[in-house]
Amino acid sequence: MLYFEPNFLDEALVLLERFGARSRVLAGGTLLATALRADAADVDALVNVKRIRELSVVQLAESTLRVGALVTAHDLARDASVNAHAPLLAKAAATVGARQLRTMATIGGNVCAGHHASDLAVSLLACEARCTLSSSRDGSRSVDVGHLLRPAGNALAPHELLVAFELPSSGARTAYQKMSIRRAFEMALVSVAARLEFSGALVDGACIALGGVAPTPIRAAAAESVLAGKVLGEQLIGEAARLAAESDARPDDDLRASADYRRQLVVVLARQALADVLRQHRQATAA
Amino acid sequence: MHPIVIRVNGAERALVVDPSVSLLHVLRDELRLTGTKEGCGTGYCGACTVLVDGAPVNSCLFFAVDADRKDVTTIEGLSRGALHAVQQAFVERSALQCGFCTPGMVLSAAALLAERPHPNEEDVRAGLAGNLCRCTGYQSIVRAVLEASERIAEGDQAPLAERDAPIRARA
Amino acid sequence: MIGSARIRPDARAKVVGETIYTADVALEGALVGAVLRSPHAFARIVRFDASRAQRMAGVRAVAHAGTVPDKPLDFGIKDQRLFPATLVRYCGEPVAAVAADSLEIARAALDAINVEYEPLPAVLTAEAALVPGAPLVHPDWETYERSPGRVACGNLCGRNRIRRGDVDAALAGADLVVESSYRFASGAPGYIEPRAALARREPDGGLTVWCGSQSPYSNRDDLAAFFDLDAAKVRFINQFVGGAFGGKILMAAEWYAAALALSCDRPVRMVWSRHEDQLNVFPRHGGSARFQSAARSDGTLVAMRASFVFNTGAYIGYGSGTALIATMLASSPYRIPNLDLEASLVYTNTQSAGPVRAPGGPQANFAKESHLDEIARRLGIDPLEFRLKNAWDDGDESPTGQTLTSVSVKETLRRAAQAIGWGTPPPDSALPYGRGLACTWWFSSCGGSTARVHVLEDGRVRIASGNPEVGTGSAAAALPMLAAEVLGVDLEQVELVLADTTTSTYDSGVGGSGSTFSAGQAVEAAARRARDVLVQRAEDSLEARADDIDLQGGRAFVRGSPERAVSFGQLARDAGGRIEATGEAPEYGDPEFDSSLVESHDFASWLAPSFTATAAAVRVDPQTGRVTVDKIVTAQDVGFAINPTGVIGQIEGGATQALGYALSEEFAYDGRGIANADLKGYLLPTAVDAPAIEAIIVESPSVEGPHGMKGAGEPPVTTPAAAIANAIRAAVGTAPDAVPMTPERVWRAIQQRR
Repeated sequence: MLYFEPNFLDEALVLLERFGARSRVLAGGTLLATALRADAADVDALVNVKRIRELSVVQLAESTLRVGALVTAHDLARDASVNAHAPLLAKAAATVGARQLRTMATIGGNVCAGHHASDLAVSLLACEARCTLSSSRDGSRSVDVGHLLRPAGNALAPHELLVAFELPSSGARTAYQKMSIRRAFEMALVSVAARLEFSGALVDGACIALGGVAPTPIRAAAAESVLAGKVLGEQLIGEAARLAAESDARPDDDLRASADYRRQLVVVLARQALADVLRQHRQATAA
Repeated sequence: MHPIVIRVNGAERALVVDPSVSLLHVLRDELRLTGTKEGCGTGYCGACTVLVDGAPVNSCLFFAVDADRKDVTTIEGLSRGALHAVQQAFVERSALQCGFCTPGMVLSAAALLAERPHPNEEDVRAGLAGNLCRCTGYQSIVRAVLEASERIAEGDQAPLAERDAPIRARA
Repeated sequence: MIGSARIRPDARAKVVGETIYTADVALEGALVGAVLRSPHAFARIVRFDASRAQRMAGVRAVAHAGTVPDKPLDFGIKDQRLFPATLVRYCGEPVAAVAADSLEIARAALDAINVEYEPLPAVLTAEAALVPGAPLVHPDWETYERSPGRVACGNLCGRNRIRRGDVDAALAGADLVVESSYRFASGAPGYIEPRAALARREPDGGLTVWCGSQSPYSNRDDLAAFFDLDAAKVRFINQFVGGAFGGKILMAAEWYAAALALSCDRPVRMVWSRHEDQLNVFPRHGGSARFQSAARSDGTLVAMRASFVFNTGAYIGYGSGTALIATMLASSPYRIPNLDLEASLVYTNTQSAGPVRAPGGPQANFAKESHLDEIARRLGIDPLEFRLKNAWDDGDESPTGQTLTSVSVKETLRRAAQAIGWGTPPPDSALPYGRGLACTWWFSSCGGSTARVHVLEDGRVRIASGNPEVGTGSAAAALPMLAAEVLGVDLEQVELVLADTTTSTYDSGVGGSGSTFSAGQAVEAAARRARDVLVQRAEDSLEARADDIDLQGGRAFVRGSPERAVSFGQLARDAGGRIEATGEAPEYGDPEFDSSLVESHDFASWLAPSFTATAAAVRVDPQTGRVTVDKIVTAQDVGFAINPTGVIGQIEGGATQALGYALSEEFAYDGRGIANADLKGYLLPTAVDAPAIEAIIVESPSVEGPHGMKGAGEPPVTTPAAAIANAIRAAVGTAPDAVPMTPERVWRAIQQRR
């Protein structure tokens, strides 16, 4: 296995072009370590991208927050810009795994792993994030993060590198709720990320993403549409939560939980997330 | 094979490693620092916790090549002469039984206190969520960490960051 | 010294990472050992060809059924070989092992072993195994030698029964009859240190094994007998153990490392990953129970019928105790005159279940105490009052007619209940809040143990005991404390030589709540003899009589004239270098009981029984089923706490282990075998999950135990899950009838009640 530590993005891209599906990108390494033990025979090149500075940058430019693919969960949770402009992402990042994993896990690596209850993927979806994918043959392209989250594996081609996420900065109120069997250090059974913009008392726009209730994280479109243009209150929250569970969620039974129970969790967590958002909104408008 | 230089417990160690090898393997098998333990090999128990530039990581997942030119603190390097406040508190408060999780637990706790000098109980439990213990039930560990935080605050001991100033000597 | 809170002598080495565990042992020239495992739950081995592996460069040894003695392992049923020759019986079962120059070569060698399997229909649950016509895990079961009196039929491989009075008549005439059923998942001991062993053939025809075992002496004897070695030439050097909990009594890696080492001339090092360890684990028995009890309307229990079925896995191994203990617990510690208690062991195509900390305890108590709370609720009687009304007093009889003394169950109940605030108004809580109780009895053990005490030239005291240190401190702390007490020295003056079968002394091992009980008595006896020798020799030095001589601070001196003194070191030098004394733990017969009340039961009376009660306070979120355990209080009668710090450690650790048992831990099976053989999917409690724990030491001395002690290691894990179940029931009116009581199971129980 050849090993490379490119200092610049185009060097990395040339390597991915050259080795394609027989290359592996070393970002945080939390998943690659165990994966390599199984499939080392299929790998010709290990490309460590952590020297490429631009991949770790967090930058606000014209109301778009750009978050480099190598920013770690720990840094996302603490970064001032992320907390100011994409608080939902910061909140979700603080709940990833445990401290040790948060030191290492990168937003790019975590999202590309494609787990349907990834805290970062679910919150990025609710943030309407886009991602920049680069390759030496095609240059850069920008896609919706949802495009990256596909059931059969992500939409990243072997010669492409995920470079950054772009999130629109907004004054939206956000909340993140998750539930697992034990109280910490476990992939969520179900998670709900909510991001609501208000115009006075009315909900201007709602983005709700669900984790663990479909093959990928999904947007809760039915719940979102029932909220749009209305005054947020307890009854509407209940209706939206029910819609999210009954119309939007498509959970399966598995060894960890049944579909019924996951739907129940959607109802409860969506209610809690929306109630949290409502509380924040009331506090902000009262102040 | 790839050359790296890791500053382990203040001493620079130059090594040639397979790029896919873990930091845990290098520490235990190349450097014979067996204080760091393998409990699961998949990042789910924390027994392999070491500090890289002061931050806790699972060394079973951490690629050795990523430790190049970084400071790695293992349990062997935590105390410089006198025990670190966390170690002292663990001994006095019986915050250990079999001791297998202890090196990782102590380092996680030391890093937690360096980052957050005045944690409450909830902070300590959350900060140690990545370190499993099967023997103690955690209560004695939490008490030891809280006590250590008080001692550090009282100036009984310099916090981790200061104490970890690297010694620039070649191995 | 004894009875006081002391810092563990091994603590400092552990916090600086100096302590050596098996995987830390370095052995020059060691080969890497690896194991080939069955991918099928149940299959016939059609073809087995290791020749390609054998010929591979860098492969130094290959072991399989064809290379090791064809002897059965004997744990009451001779149902197991070291390697299977014709049938593999669980997914993960070792079928071969190799030793090679490197890990890569070892893995390649495993790949090169050609095994052709014919998969067979498997049974993964006890229920499935008992269906008439179900596949037989042991088709030749009838040909197996069994210990006398063992019940066996098809997949049933053990059954015991306790009967007294007339249960049917009592049920017929009762004011209230309650029936309930329960299920228990199987689970892991959960030690953080995966199993490992090193082995080296010795020029004298012997073998040295480095490992972390709970019972190195029994292991040595079993290994020597199996491989036809002179036991005196087989040496087990036991390291510190990173947790055991009953999962490291039977050999695992040790067998394969030894088999490989004996067939080559280099040492073999076998260190298992967590995944491998879980595939080769001896789990806690899962299974089910049905209870049917009768009571008077005033709350007096008059009859109980209980029936347990335990999934014992593919081989009986060390699994028999679970069923024996379950029937001893099912109606205890309560006065119930009419009893019909039964427990069965059933083979399935899963890992061989073992004596995980308190085998049968969490299971039986979860069922029994939940069942009793049901009865109390139906009668409208407070669960504490109900238990106090029926619980034993001194002089009462156990289910098998053993007369009970030093009965403290009511005290433990009262103290635990008081500490949880029983009967006081619940705290303000947005969520439903409840308190629950459970209590039990347990046994002490005293297996054989010998100890040696040396007083050295420098005045230090060295103890050699065969009792391993697995974490509890019963070896590392209690033994030095006992010796220090007798000899009047500081704890720092005492050093302990760990279990090494050539330099230390026989010990039956850690288990059955008997380490301090047995090894402690051996150490004390040795220390007393050493004291006698010191005093005798001091008589000459000090020109005084023995009666006037005291030992303190490492000196012998004349009472009242402390300047007339001689140091231990001097006495040792005068004796030619050192003073040596040995001591043994006494043997105890089984307490008397009425054998007409039992069938096929060889654990029907209990030595120095202890009593334990737990009270739990929980809050339940009915919408998600999430249970938050605010506090666990365990009041445990330990007779006398020789090492109180150790006892508290056992209570606190046991509470959190039980919390895992109660709320999150279970092996999941995916139709083949364990689907969560890793710590991502097998959910041990984290620091966030662990509750506040209050440990109350109750001391009601036993007649038999040293200083009146009773075994303390296992009881703490037997009651908290039951207390949590009852607290859930108090909070939301119902509780799951299965452990673990995951949030989904709690939610469903609440839904069903509506």
